[in-house]
This record gives sequence, structure tokens and C-alpha cells, in this order.
Amino acid sequence: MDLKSKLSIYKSVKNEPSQEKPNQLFADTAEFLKSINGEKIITDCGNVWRFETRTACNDKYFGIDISALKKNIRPLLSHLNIDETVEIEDLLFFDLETTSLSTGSGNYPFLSGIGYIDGEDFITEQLFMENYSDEPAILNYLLDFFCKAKAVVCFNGKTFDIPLIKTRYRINRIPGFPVKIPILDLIIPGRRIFKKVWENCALQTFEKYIIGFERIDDIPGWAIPQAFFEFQKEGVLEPIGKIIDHNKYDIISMYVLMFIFSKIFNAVDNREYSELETKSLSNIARHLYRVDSESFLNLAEYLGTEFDKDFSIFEKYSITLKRCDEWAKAVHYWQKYPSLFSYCELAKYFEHREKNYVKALEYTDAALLRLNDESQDIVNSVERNINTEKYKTAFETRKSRLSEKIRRIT
Amino acid sequence: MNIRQLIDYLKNYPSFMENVKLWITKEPIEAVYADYPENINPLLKEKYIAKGVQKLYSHQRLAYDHISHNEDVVIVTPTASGKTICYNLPVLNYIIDNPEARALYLFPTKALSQDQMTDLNSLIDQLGKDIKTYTFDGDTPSSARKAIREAGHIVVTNPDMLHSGILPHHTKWVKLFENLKFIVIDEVHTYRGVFGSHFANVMRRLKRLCNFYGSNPVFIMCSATIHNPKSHAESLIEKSVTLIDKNGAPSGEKHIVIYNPPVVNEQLGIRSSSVKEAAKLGSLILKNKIPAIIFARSRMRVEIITTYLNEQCHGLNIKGYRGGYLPNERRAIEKGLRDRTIDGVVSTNALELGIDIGMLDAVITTGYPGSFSSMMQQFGRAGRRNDSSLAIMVATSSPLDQYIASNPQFIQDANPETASVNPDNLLILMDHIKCAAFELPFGENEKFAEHLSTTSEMLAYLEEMNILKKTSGKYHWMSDIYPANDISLRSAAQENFVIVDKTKKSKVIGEVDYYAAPELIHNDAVYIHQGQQYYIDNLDWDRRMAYAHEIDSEYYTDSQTKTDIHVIEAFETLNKTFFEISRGEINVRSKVMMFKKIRFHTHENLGWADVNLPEIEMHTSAAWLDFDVDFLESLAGKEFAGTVLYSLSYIIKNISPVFTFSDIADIHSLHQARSLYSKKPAVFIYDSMPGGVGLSEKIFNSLEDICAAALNAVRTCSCAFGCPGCIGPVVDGASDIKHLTISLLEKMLSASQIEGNTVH
Repeated sequence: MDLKSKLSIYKSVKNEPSQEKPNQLFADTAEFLKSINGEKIITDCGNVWRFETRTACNDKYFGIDISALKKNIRPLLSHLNIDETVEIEDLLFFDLETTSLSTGSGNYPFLSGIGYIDGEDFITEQLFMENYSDEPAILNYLLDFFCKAKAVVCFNGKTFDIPLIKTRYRINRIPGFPVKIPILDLIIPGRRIFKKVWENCALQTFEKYIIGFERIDDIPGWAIPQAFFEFQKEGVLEPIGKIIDHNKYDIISMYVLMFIFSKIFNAVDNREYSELETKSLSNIARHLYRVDSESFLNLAEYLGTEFDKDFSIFEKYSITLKRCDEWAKAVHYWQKYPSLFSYCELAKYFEHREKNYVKALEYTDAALLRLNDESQDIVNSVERNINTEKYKTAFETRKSRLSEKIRRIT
Repeated sequence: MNIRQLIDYLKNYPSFMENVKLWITKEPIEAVYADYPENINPLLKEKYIAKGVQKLYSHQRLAYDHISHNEDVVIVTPTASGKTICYNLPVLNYIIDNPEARALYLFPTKALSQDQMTDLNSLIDQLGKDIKTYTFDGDTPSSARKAIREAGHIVVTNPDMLHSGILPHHTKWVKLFENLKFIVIDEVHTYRGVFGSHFANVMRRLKRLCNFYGSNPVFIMCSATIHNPKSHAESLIEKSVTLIDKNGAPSGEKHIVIYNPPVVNEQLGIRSSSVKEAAKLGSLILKNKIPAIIFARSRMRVEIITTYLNEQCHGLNIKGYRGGYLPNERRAIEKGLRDRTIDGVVSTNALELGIDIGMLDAVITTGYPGSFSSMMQQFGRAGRRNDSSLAIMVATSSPLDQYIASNPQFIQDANPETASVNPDNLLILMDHIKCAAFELPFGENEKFAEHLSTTSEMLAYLEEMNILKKTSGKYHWMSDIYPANDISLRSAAQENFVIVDKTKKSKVIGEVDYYAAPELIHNDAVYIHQGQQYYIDNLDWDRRMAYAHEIDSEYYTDSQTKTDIHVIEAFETLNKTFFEISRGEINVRSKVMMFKKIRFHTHENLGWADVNLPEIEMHTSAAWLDFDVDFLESLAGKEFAGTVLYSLSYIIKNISPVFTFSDIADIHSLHQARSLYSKKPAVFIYDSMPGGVGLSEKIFNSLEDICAAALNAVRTCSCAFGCPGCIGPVVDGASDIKHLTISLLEKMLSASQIEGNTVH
């Protein structure tokens, strides 16, 4: 028995060639790629297919006022801790289509898309790996762009596209990739602002709700690797055209999204809350809580200090008041919204700041009563998720300490 | 009594001594010392001296000298001979002067790697040097992984993690691969059979990547005593290796005893249960506060002995230890043994490996553990450097154990086993060629190993299957699958079943692997964990979960499996006058059909019930015998032909491990009244691992010796008509199967070859 027949007995391999061959409209790949505006470019490492588009920034789809973008970009950069002196012309938009959705060194980027601003225009360039052997040429071509750029803009690229392209440079032994290049990953502000506002935080969800654009006849991401393999095995071309479009729209959407996010952060910094999507305001408040106490208090007050609906903002609000030394106001809110959290803060306040141990003990007792009373309907969601045992131990420790302090004084 | 008094007591205790088949006393051994090398870093030397290592043992010095000449070495070391110094000393010494250098340490299990870390870290702390050592395994938090990849000087991991977590992501480990100076592989004797064959392929991939990144690391390997440490190490890394086997470490006086439980029924040849005898001896030792370990062959026996010992030794802390316990539970037991809060432990071979449990004074091995080196490893658990120790093997009634009990010189003369691997097993090789292609494209003329001229054929096959794509002379990975995830180095490890105790709250109590699940955790099985019995209410096969509740049962369960065999291809056949022996490849399908309920202590059968679970299928290698129907029927009569065939398959399977140097569980046997292949009565002996690791080929080649040993075992067995100690359990009232089997074996040995060897 020869090796092959033995192997076929051992394991039935699932990747059987597909039964039906789809209609071939084009005689060969080159003809097809040319028909969708591909051109073969010559590089030092070989020739490779490139697709280029140039669109005016004020195009009706983009609707981007380039001078406004130049101005508005700063707050976004600063909120993402990227050097604020970076100009929009220094940004490189970047997105890959790959042979697998997971990571590892056997995952090839077969379509590498980049975008950049050139004067009043936005350019996309896409490089297609017709053959696996085209990879070094593509990487070489891209290297100049990466080296020139001062930051890379991507969507979920921090965990996927960037590590993957680094891997490709290493495997192909091409040195010079700027490993420390700052990354402006739009999924980060996207999540911060729009978490739980819509069904998810995918790029296409943002397109739908923020940009107001829905793709027609788009190839879904999960189908992309198989489509490339079909092209490799059978020369099936049509999906390749769709993938090239898909990747192009990913890049363009990133550009538009960056413009919109810039406007949002600009409005945030200028405290123009009415400009913003109402549903996103509490997310923005949470973001500000981490980065800017003063702006946070301002937004929280704008949102209204009737905290019956959003208790987590209340906690953050009162803590920020405490941080800003606005004690009287903080105490007022803790007393207005009694909860385990409030009791804990009040007890701490009276024990350590006021040295009023009796009062502190009163709040501690109130908390313990609440914890021990099973009939007590603990209303807000924060309290439902707490570790009651931990709280109990903490309050009990506090109680004995306070009792001891009171005993010593009397 | 202390250990020496106990040894004297046993020597003078007639009812013990009358069952002792062999008592060997090994004299204490003096240490052989050597000086520290002159060029060693003075601080490192100072710290070792401060740890109590005034001088090196001779083998430690020898290892250092060879390693510093960039030689690949294998060091054969008994338990507690200071093997870690053999690699830590040269590695640390090099890294102190070359802070860019990296080392990779491989231990066969996670537990072992964590154990080694503690030791290494304390030394590095004392050195005050910036040498970073990290464990990288499934438990490493993802937040720590980046730092380990970039900064770890010594990365400690296991083969599974190297295979699925490091090699496929090699670009993230550039620093490690570019600067890899040492690869330490401990316990290389465990890399045998399927696991070893996988391991050798993982080494091929590792070397391929080192080559890509331009490093040429020195391999430092350590092995327990096996027959062929040098050639085994060489077949794992496919390089020539220097052997260091002159041990300089001292040891105390050792007593090795082979104990055969007394016959309680002459007629049926039934001996007292080895489990009971082991528990009896164990409780005698433990009640005297002598720290001891009792090894048993199966998880079930571990649980039964633990139960018996806890009944007999009130007030003592005795634990069970085996695969299937959760890691925390295991760590707690190991720690308890080290700090002596646990008095004794009953374990499967899980504790054979070098996990640090301190030195014990006594070991009982219940049943020959399947291989001589495994037994020596178990015996090695007892023995301090300056005191006596006792190791007892209690024979079971299995033919192999009885063969050893009646030929105890076997132990005296035995060569430790030959560890063998078959890295070119087609299935295993194919798996790793895929992984390697994923890691780096294959050049069209590249060979996966120097002798593997079939590489290109295999690559072409993978291209035809659309897994690889060839362009410009290179084969590229063309699948969205991450191949390492689908390939387990230890068959079935990824397919573990989880057991959930629903008695109070749902709580995971342990795991069982894929092949063992149908036998151990079928519906209504009694599953024992830490001496506690659980009743399996429901086995959810698809979700790989079993739900159980605690019970207090008077019986345990024992399942029965039905197996079918189809021959795929015969490679070679020898024609004898009335039978043929062949070897080749087969397809085995097995299904657990029923289980029996066996009462504790009396071991009587209380009833049975059906098991309804899916069939498990496997391709493997086999050797088989086809008999002429007429011959067999004239020998045994139509009625008993099948029974004789069964007895032949039973004794061959049980005696073979002596000749194949393998574990008894690695070989299966089956008889068929009419083989689907030859249409004749047949006996199949086959590798129990998918693809096989060459055991059946060894059986094919040494059938004559096996039959002679089998004949000897049946003839010398004390039973009258056959017993589990020779030809297997015999149904009452059957014809004299024992003598029929003897005569079959005699005829087979005298049969002449009628035609030449047929190679298909």
C-alpha cells in the first residue's frame, strides 16, 4: 500500500474539493482583477496587485470638513494618550483580511489595506496576495508607510492586525517595522462611549447607527478565509472582489468614525452635552470619572442628580465629590440615597473626619441591620451584586473598633 | 518500631517470610565527590556551598564539564542524587556572564515544573542577580505572558504547552529562540510510546525554529534508569548525545522484597487478594509511624486500599493520590507528605515521577507496575542517604506477576526496559508536519528529519488535500484551523470528562480521560474519589460531563467491553504447519456492554446491568495468529476450541510485556472464533494506542520466546485446572483447558515453517 492510500484510510480529511464549480465569468485572475481597477505594481521583491481609491474628504459619503477634523482631532488623541502633536496627515489607517480568524504564525494576511490623508483627499491602497509568494513584496511595500506614520489607526487592531503584521515581518525576516508605533484603536473609544447602547460594538454597528450607512451584499467576516481558499484551490474570483470592497469600506469607515469620535470628544471637552447621543452620556461619564474628575462632576450634574435610575453614577459622583473635598455635598447625597455603600461612606466620614464615633456607630448599625434583615428589599442593582459576607465582616470590625473608641472616651 | 526494627521484625516473622519469594539487601553506597570547576562563578559556588553542597558529586562535575564543551548530554540519575544541580549549575553559570542567553526547561507535567521553580527561584534570590525564571503553562495569566516572552531567562514549561502555546506563536518568542543556549529535558524516560513519539516530533519542530532563528542550543537531558538512555535520548532529539551514568551520590541500605500472597484455594489456584495484603502490610508500617507510600496499578485499587487503610489505621492521616484529582488537592497532598502532616499515601504511578514529596522509609508496590524501570522508580521513593529502607512488591494473581513471583531471579537479573519511540508513526508524523507547516512554510526539498525522505511525499499529499498550497517552491499553510489545538500529545488528554458532585451544591470533583470514561463513569457506576464513593446518576456524553452524588455503597462496579477487529492491511505473514502469524494494521471498535457489581472485601459478584454508550474506534498496529479450524478442533474439540483460544490470547497478552518492555495496558488482545479477515479462528495482539508504537511488531518478532515463557508460566502455576494466574478465569465444569492450552503452546513451538516469509 502506498503512503497516500494508507493516509486516506487513516484519516478522512474533511477538505474535499467542492462538488459544484461556480460559474467563471473571467478567463483568468489578471483579467478579473484589472476589471475591478487592480494594477500590478513593480517592487524590488516582485510584482503585486494593488487597488487604489482617492476620494475628496468632503465627498457626500464622507462629509468631512478637513479643517474641522484637523482641529477636533486633539481631544481624541489626548483621551487615548497619543502624542497630541501628531497631525492627521501622519496617521496610517490599517486593516487586514487574513486566512484565519485566530492567531498564530500560520495565519496569512492576504489583503492588506491602508488609508491616509493626502491634502483634501483620502486615499486607500490595498495589496492583494494572489500567491503566497507575494507576501514579502507586500510587506516591503507597506514598510515605508509604517515607518513614515506617527500613529496607526485601526479597529480592534491592537489585539489582532498589529501583532499579526509584526509576526509576518518576523517570519519573512524583514527588519525595520516600527514596533513601538502608537496605535489609535477605534474600538477603545467606541466601547467607552457606546457600550451597551446598541447590540454590540462592531464596526458595522457603528456604521449603521452613527454613520448611517448599511452595506449591501457584503461578505461576512467569517466567510472570508474560506473564500480566499476557494480562490486558491479553484480560482473562484467573485468573492475576492467582495473582500476587496469589504476591506476598503472597513478603512473608509474607520476614517469617518475617527472624524465622528473627534467631534464627540471635542463636545465633551467643551461640555456641549446636548450635541451628544443621550444614551451614551452615562458611558461618557464613566470614562471621565477615570480621566478628569472636574469634567465628570460637570457631566453628572448635567445628567441630573436624581440618582434613582443609575446608582453606579451616584457612587462615582459621591466619591468624586469626596476626592474634590466637597464633603458637605457628598454627605448630603449619601444621606439622601441610603444604601450599604452610603452607610459605609458615612461611617468612614464620621469616624475619621468628624471623629463623631456615636454617629459613625449609628450608620454602622444601620448597615448591619440592613445586611441581617432578609425581608429588607435591597433595591438597587449594585447592592444585589455585592459580597454580603465581606461587607458584613467589614462592618462588624468597624463596629467593634468604634465601640472600643467610644468606651475609651466615656 | 523504626524502619530498621521493622525490617528485623519482618525477617523473623514466619507467616510473612513464608510468602517471601525474594529478599535482596543492597549494601549502602559511599559518595564519590569532585571539586567545583575552577572557572565557575565564585558567587554561584558560594551560594551552593551555603545551601550545603560543599562538594559536587562526581556525576554533577562530569555533566558540567561536558555541557561547557557544548556537548548534548543525558544524565542517568537515581532518585535523590542531586540531578537538578547537573543542569542548574551550568545554566546559571552561563547566564550570569551572558545575560542575553536563554534556557528552556521541559518537564513532563505541570506539577513537576512548578516544583522545580521553587528550588531555582530561591537560589536565584540568594545570588541577587537579575535572572528571571518563569513557568509558562496553561495556568499562566495572560497579563504575565508578555513579560515572560520578552524577559524570561529561564522559561519552564511542559511539552504540551510548547506544542500548542509556544511553537505556533514563535514570532512572539523571538528573544527566546534567537538566544536559546540550553534546552533542559527532565525525566526523558517518560517520553516513550505515543507520548514519546509525539515528543520527538515536537523536538523536530523546536529544532526547525531554532535553526530559523539561528540558535543552536545544547540539550541537557535527565533520565531515570532505563536500558538504553543514550539511544533513547538520541532518538528523541535526533542528535548524538554523551551519556553520563556514573552516579556519585550515596545511598543507604535498601531491602527489596517480592511477596506472593498465600494461596487460599489450592483447587482453583486462588490467592489472597493483593489489595488486601498490601493494605495489611501498609497498616503495619503506618501504625509504626513509618512514612510510606503504597502504589497500586489502577485508580480503583488506589481508592480501595485507601478505604481499607483508613478503616484499619484510626487517627492516622492517609490520603489517596491519582490522576483525576484536581491540582489544588494534589498540591496539598504533596505538601502534607513533605511536612509530614500526612502519614501515608496510596497512589497510582502519578507519584512515580520526581514530584518532591521528601524521602519516605517504605514503599509497597501492589502488582508489578508493568515495567521494570517503573518498579525501580517506585522503589526509589523509599531510601534516605543514611538510613535503611524497605521496598515490597506484592504480587497480584495476574500471569505476569505470578511469572515474576515464581521466577524472582527476573528482578535480580533484569535489565531495565528499553524505552522506545516511533516518531515516524504515520499519524503522529502527519500531525506534526501540519503543525510545522503552520509554524513556517516548508521548502520543497526540506526534510522534517534528516532520514525522512518521505517528507516531500507527505507535503504533496497535504497539498492534494488542500491543507497546504505550494507556490514558488514553498508549501504554505492554507487552512483557517490552528492545527496544534486538534492534536494532543497524550492521546485523549483534551477530551477529558468532568465529574460533578450534585450532593449539595454542584462541585467538580475530578476528571476522567476519553478512553477510560465508558468504563469508569457510565450511568449507575460507583466511582470512588478520595475514598468517598459516588453514584453516577447521568453521564452526558456529548457535553463530556458526569453527574454524581455521594453514596455509601457495599459494592463497587467493574465494566465489560466488547471489541471488534477488522484488518486493514497485512504487512508480513509467516506460514507454519497449522497456523499463520501476521502483522499489519487493524481497525478496532470497542463498546462497553455491561458492568458487574462487586462486593467490597469478599469480592463476590452481586449482579450486573447494561451500559449504553457510543462505540470508540481506533486504527492501530497488530500481530495476529490464524489457526486451521480442523487442527484446533481436533486438539480441543469443537466445544472448547474458543475457550482455548481465549486462554492463549490471555496468556500471551499477559506475558508479552516482559518481552516488549512496555506497560501491560499498552497491549490488548482479542480472540475471534472466525476472523473477519482470514475466516479462521484467530488471536489478535495489538498496540492500545492509535497508530501503534511498535509493540506488536516486537511481539511478532519474538513470538517463539513469548510462547516458551507462556508455556513455562502455565506449567509451573500451582493451580489444578487453570486460574487467573495463568490461562485466565475458567468456567466451572469446563474441560481441562489448562492442559489443552499447554498442548496448544507445545504444538505451536514445535510447528515448522512451511513456506518462506511472505512480505505483502
